[in-house]
Amino acid sequence: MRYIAVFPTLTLAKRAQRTLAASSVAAETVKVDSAKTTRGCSWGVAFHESQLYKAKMIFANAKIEVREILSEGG
Amino acid sequence: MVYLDNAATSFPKPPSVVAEVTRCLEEYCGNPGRGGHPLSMAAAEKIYECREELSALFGAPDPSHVIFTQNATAALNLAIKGLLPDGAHVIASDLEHNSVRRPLEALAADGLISFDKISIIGDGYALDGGAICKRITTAIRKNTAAVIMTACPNVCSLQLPIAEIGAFCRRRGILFIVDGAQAAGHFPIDMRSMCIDALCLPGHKGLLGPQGSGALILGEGIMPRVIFEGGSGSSSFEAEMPREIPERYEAGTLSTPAIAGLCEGVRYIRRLGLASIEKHERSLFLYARQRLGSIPKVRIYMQQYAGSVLSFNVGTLPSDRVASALGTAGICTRGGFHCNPWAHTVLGTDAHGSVRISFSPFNTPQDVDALALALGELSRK
Repeated sequence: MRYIAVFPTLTLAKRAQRTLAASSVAAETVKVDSAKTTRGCSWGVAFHESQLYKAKMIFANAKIEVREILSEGG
Repeated sequence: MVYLDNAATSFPKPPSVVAEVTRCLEEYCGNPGRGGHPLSMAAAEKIYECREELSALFGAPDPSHVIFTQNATAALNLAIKGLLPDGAHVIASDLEHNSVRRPLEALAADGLISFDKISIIGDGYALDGGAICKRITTAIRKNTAAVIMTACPNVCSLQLPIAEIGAFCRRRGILFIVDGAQAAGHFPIDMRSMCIDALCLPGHKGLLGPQGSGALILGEGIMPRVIFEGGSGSSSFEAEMPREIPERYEAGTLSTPAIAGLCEGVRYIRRLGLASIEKHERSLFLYARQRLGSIPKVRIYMQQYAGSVLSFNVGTLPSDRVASALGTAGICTRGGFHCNPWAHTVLGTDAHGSVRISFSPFNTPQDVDALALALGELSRK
């Protein structure tokens, strides 16, 4: 399973993806299922469930604000 | 064909630029930031790569501060109309292009701002940074909100002391907006060390990208008013544009092929190195100054400032007639006023303009030889 960190814009998602990659966390930028978001189209970064804690730490250290974290397919 | 009109738009483009534009159109030209399908995501990846390249080249806070526009004029309009509060006073140099002058004139005509221009040149020589800052000091009013300067005017190779002016503005709490149209890709500009709050760039000149590309790069915490509203690919149910940069200012579909080409143009420049480009263009200028200076009737303007742009006239011949004759001989130059009546007034060329030649990394001394040969024949007529 993968988790998706959700961001308000694609550029923020890209920046988050690059930040994860710089810490060797494989991640993919994705468009988030509109049915799961409340404010229209959103973008996210998908990564393996085993990386959840590390990803959260990386985002916090880089001061990257995550709107929410969803489980893919969940 | 000899192409010496790179200040208007650079030609040729590096092969890598041409190849990437073609590859984009053939392989991945989806709409970036709209769909989630592979072509849309591939386009978005290229767009972000270009933001990264520009951010690195110009010392932006991070890639999200790079806002794509269709050219430098659009970037300047966004910066000027978005950053100046109503009632603001602005100080600009007297060498500014119409892309600065006309937005200022329009805002002033509507009673929204006032502006003063200060002289940069005295007795044929440019003032140093200290003298320019003194003139700015004299022009400052209580409501002065911004200083707008070109880093290098488009009719001569004079480089303004941007770092000194930027530091001065930062100390005074005044916004510093820089027109980088003729500087980008020709010599180094670093937003952080030069205290630039808004840097306006064309993609298709010194950065060697396709026409239709340009950027406004914002400093930390600089948030213009929104000028264009529309689709942003995010927060679709909200009435306003997204709060986040750069999407806040990028309404509508970006030109992915142009930005893809620009990305490769910037990479080409970073591989060559700005120091190497500056040295090459300076040497061409000096060679052109020597060759053209030996031709009777040719007068070169501001020839003590060597760089990528050189302006001249041949006797009393109208500049457009000279440029036209050169064009017939297969040499591309630009006559007229170069959309910069202020600078031509300063240079004393406001009657007939001047002939401008402008270099890129692809020009050679042989191009200058061809120009000198054609001008020699023209001056004898």
